[in-house]
Amino acid sequence: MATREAGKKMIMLKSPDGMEFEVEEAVAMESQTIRKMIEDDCADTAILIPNINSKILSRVIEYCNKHVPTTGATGAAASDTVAPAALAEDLKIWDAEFIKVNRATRFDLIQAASYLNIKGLLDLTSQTTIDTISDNSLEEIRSFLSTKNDYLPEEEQTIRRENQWAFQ
Amino acid sequence: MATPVSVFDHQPLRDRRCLRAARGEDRLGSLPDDMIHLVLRRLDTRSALATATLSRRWARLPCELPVLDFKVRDVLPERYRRYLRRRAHVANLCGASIKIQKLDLLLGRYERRGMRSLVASLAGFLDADDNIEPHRRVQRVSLEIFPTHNPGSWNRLIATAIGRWGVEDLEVIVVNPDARHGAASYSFPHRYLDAHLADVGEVKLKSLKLSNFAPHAFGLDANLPPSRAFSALAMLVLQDMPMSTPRRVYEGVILACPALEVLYLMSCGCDRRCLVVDAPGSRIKELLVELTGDTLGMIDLRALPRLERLTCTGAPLQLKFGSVQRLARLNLTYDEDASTIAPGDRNMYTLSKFMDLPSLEDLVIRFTGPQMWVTPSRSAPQLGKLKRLRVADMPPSWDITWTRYLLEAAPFLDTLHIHVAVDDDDAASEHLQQAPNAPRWGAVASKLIRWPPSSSEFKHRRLREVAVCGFKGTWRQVHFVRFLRRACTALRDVVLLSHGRVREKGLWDWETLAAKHECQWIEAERRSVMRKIEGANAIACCTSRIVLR
Repeated sequence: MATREAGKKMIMLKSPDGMEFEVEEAVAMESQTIRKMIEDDCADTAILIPNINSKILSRVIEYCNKHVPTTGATGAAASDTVAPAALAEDLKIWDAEFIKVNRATRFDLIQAASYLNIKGLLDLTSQTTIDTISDNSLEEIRSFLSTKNDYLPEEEQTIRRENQWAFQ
Repeated sequence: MATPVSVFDHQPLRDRRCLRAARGEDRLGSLPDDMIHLVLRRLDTRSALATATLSRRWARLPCELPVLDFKVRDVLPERYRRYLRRRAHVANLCGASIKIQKLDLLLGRYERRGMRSLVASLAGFLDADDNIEPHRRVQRVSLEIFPTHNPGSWNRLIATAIGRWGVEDLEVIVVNPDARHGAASYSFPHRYLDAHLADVGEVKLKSLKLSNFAPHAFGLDANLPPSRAFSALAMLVLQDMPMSTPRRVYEGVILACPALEVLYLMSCGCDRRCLVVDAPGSRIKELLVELTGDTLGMIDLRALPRLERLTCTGAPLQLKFGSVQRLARLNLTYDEDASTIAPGDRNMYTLSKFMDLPSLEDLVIRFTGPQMWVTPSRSAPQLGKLKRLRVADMPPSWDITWTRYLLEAAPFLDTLHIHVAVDDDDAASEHLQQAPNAPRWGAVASKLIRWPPSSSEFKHRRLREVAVCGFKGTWRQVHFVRFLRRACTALRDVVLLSHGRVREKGLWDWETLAAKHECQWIEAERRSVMRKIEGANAIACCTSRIVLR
């Protein structure tokens, strides 16, 4: 959680199961959905986040806290002491650790990232699934999905012709 | 029901060696459709299309993909890329040879095969698409092809994308590796489109990128109204247009796209490097011009009343400003490599050729080349509103005091940032390390600016902040800092960074940052530089503060 510092505006986020999270405005604004609410001035007291339980919401906040850009330096007198490459590498390691969760949590996180519109988190959470689909053969994906190929042979021929670009 | 399993079923969708099979933890099937979409829209087009063949439940899902990529190089095997690399290697070693001809034959064969696959796939895809109701909604389509004389398939795809799918963002790139295919041969089919868009309610195309197109891409007939395809177009990028492109093609583009706000001409050929823009009705706000060639070109902006930001890059382009009252931000990134020309014939350009623009507020100058090529003009350029100036990547061989030309032209300048390029082993810069009376100096004196003694009376009353990145404490740099402190009466901060970097924020904005701690001045250096700047006869009236980082 963010440490409260003087001068930083805080925002209260509420999950449907009654938990409240106080976060810095900048952290909450990582979510484009919340950013829009704040910018439209609909967020004077607390923001209720429906559909996302406190367990998932706390993980989302954890992610946003880590990914909120460090306040930019202005002018020449300012100094930027951390090389950006090292920072990016750190974040990558942190992300890899963050995403080590079970399948159900990951799907909940995808859903939350989608609702709150947090691009980085959505990329991160759906990547494993994307890798699964792109790295395996159709038969393997079917077994992942517990899906049976229910096409008739001629139907399958047609659908293959339509999507021939995938099989070139 | 037992269904046959075809050979395709055992190929990985994306050809990767590291199979992560048999982990069995990702049962997507348990997800609702909208979640599957979330995942699908992040897959590459080919993998996403393949999922249609998984089962009936998945058949319609790829119809809702927001992005479709048809890139011919995606289906070429790794071997093709290996041949390409080998060709580059051989060409480097011995230029044209029998070996190259053989490789070209092989590469040509792969490329033709790729194009045949793409044509066949598109035909199947578009035939099926005719039966899809309601129409697909696609946000972005990207097509990449090799040069071709057979426009049929591409025209059909582009017409379907703009007309039926309501695409907002279209990119068509003709790739011509090693320029083996001769001139570009595909042109944008705007008249064909007009015939197909007749019954389309609203054309949504907002952003278009065309690369390596035939010059008559926008060849306009003044008697015809602008094409409907461009009626909503706000952003246009033209890239790698051939050298022979006549300038009226670009001038026609501006007239053909009434809603255009952003126009980028990137490494575009243009006849005689000359462009005249006279478009009082145009909405263009942002313009980037990079014309290929190395002679001095010219852009005459007679009328672009809404233009706010302009960038010119490549070899120098002279600028003439007409009715461009809103133009406030200018970026000039010019490289003049006159190293092959004898010293007497070197091109020297006066500054007023480039920036005689009273409305300018922010200016980024990146003039590079082995030797300085700017001179002051008799009538200094008018930069009456200029507030912020950045001199980027200044070659260390250039005399830093040349920026004073700009200072003299801009009486209201507030911030001056200079970034000296780091070029440690450049011998040409060595003379600047030496004192003025060193014996070698005579030979290079022409590169240093001799300021007449009367110029010491110059005063600047607005400059508040100066930052020099890559400050090495050479005598010329010290001389310049001392000059600034003497001449600029409002100067508050002089920040001298031995190492530092500039974070660019787009083309027209920037931020100068100090380097990491270990790259900063060591104490002895710091004291020595400070001593040099303060000098023996310390300037008592200085109010400015020097910060060394």
